[in-house]
Amino acid sequence: MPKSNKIWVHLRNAPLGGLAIFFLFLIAAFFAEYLAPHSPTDQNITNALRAPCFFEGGTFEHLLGTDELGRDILSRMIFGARISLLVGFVAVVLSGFIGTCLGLVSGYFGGRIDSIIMRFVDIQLSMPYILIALALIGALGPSLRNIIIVIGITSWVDYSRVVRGEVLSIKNKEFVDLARIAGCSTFRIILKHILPGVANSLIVLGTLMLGRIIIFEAALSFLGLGVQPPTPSWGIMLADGRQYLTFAWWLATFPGIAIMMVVLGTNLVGDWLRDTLDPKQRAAVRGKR
Amino acid sequence: MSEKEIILEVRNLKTHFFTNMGLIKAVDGSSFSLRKGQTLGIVGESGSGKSITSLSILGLVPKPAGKIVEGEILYCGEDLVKKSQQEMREFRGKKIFMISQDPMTSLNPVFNIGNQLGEAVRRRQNLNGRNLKEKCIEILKQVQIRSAETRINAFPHELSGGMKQRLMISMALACRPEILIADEPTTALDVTIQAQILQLMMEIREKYKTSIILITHDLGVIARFCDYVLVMYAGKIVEKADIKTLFKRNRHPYTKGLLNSLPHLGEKQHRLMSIKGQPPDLLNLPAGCPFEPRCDYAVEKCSFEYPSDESVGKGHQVSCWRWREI
Amino acid sequence: MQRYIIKRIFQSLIVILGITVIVFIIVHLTGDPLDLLLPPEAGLEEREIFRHELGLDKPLYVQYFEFLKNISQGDFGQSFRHQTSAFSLVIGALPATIELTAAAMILSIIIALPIGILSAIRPRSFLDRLGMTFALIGQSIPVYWAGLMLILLFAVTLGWLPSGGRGGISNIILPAITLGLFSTAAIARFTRSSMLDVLDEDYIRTARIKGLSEHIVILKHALKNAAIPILTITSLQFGRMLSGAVITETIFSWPGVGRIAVQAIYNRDFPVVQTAVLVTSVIFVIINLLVDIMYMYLDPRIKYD
Repeated sequence: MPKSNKIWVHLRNAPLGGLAIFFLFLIAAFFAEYLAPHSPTDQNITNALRAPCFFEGGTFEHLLGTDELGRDILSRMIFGARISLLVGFVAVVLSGFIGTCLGLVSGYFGGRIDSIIMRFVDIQLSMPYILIALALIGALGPSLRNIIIVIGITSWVDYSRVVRGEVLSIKNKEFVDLARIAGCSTFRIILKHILPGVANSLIVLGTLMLGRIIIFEAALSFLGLGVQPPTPSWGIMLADGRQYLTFAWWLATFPGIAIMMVVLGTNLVGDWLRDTLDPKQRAAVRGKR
Repeated sequence: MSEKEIILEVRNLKTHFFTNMGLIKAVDGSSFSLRKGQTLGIVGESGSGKSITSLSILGLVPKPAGKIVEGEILYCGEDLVKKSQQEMREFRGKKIFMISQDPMTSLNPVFNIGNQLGEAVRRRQNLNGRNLKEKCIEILKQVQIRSAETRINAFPHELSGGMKQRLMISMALACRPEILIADEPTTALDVTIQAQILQLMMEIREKYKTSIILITHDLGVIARFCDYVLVMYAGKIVEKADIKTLFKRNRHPYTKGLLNSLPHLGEKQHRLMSIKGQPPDLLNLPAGCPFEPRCDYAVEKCSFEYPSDESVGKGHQVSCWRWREI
Repeated sequence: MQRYIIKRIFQSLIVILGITVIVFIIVHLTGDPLDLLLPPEAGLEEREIFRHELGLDKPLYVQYFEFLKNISQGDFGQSFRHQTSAFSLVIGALPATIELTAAAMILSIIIALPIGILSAIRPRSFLDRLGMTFALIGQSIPVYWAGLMLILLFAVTLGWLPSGGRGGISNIILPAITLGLFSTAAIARFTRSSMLDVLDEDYIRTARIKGLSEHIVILKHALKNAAIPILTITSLQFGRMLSGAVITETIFSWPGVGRIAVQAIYNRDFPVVQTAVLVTSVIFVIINLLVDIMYMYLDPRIKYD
């Protein structure tokens, strides 16, 4: 059957909602200055704790209301997207890099090295990652750079396991043997022959991890050990919201919705990518003929 | 029920699959009948629709893509197509049973064989505990599984391929069905085991007068075992006849091709004949006869009009425009 | 079989050892603990005396072995903040965490398994789509936000349930739902896909050919096979829960190990942090070990060498 047929089937199933949210997120992050009605850090105590526009006391000036220092919630949310994307993206790349390297080495060389690395994975998996991250940031100090590094080094594990699995199934295929016979250096074999086979899984995993890391960053900020004020992070907004939960529900509600939507988007897109790129397709016809 | 009475009649069965890639007419207008005590062979390549025919009879066509869109399957007068899953369960395991293609995957890996055989036994007899176990051991011995007393606690992965298939046959024995469908029962096994399995099936046939539908692509097995044969291609029955007629007086180019591709022992072989061309693409079947691209006898009419079923002789039908000349 | 168990126990011990190393390293990244113990005016000499007394001037690996020795004897150090041993502080908080985590896990399984199975039996039906949509959303909601929203709805607005503290059933409902939300979603989705895979297998068709009732086909033949990967996911979720408990306990003021650990981190109370991490991790390792042993009974194909 013609290949274009298959591609069309996959595109037809694309999660429009998820992709839309994702792009909205990217646009908000990149063009925050143009989109936000106010500055995220402008304080105006007299205007504090104003309700969102359709509620009592609300105005159209501040569509989603203001926080305890009079800052516009909507603007802070839009700028918060930038922080989430920044930390999320860099941390995904960092953890992906570490995890992939270790996974490649572990899978390709096997033996002793594999055992050691896998033992390392077990160790890290057994420890509650939030506590580790909190402890590390507590030790190193909560700067943006440290947060990214800490998230990066606590999140590499998933990559290494997935990559290792893929490498194990690829490395016994014939074309790898041929490359070896042809005299390719190990490095070259890994780079040119094995890595492309792993790429699909990496793309899927990276997308899904983005959502998880955004949640992670917001969690750290929520606990006060992430991004520090006055930088607007969705996590910090939630922490503020917690204090004023009883009489200013909008502080906590909207940033949370933002996080949920973005992560929903990444999950939808990630799932779709997995269905598209996974060679073991769910056949349209279930069962054998 | 006396001999020679028709117990299963299939009329114009059409089972189609509605997939993302298009419509697959896996079985497209099959009609045949099965008599008591008869052994019916269905032969054809992969994808010809033989397995789907058996699944249709059992009501186990894979959903949701698969559906019987037309036709009747009459078992002792009742139309199985119209029955609900609940009603079909009454037939399965008691009146109709099937031995599947691959014994390796047909057994549940997490239950021991006594457990799985016991389920089949209990379809016919309400036994429990030790009685059930003894019955199972007795049946295992009938299919010549040695050390049945200890084997009964074994798990499927501990058995060889031949033993697994014998276990499936023991389940058939336990069910004592009127119709036994065997879907490629020997394909996954090596030759010596094949003979044993076929032997066992013949014993069942003798003992219980079971009607057997044997599905295979192996003409040698058909020759040894069957009374009557259906030849299928691309979802259609292209020829049906009794065994002698099929081998000596066949009239369809595909049947001829199949027989020619059998290596002959004792004769000097110039080269192995095979049917030229590619197997049919079920998503893009031509309007006319699906075998036309590979047929040595094809004429223009064959490419746009599907040949109707014509009677050559008693019990011998063929779908080919040129059967008279073949 | 025995050999397998012994091998796994040995592996677990190595993992625990590795954990102690990492915990030790993390705590020692924090800089000079003396800054916390001594007032800033303390002179250099005083610091050196203290340093020597506390054994902080010895080389790192020696300090590590002393640390290891102390731990094995149950001495995890004294809390900097409270006048008790770190160990008793953590152990005292442990029952609360176990109670919460157990409640969340049980809730998850009770809700997720049926949803997953029902979705797999009727794929693409309304029930399936509904269930999986909720599961997808459930996996996208962060723990902290879920907790806050539940408090907002049930405690602040409706006043039906308390917003914090440990006590009776009404106290545990919201935290358990919060903590279990993600796991419920994950297990439901995974149960569905695992069951779908199994239902495609030939042996399920054989079970149907035998004419067994659909209940037996699904609940006996399919479920036992699907259970194996589901068990893996469930134990992974349990590990996640131990992390999630940190946040949940903080939001709901639940007096568990998580909350103690977070406060200890704020207070730079390192012995407590270190003890909390160690205790939580060891519990997880033990649970994993038990799960592995359970596998042997579920799947007879596992080889024991």
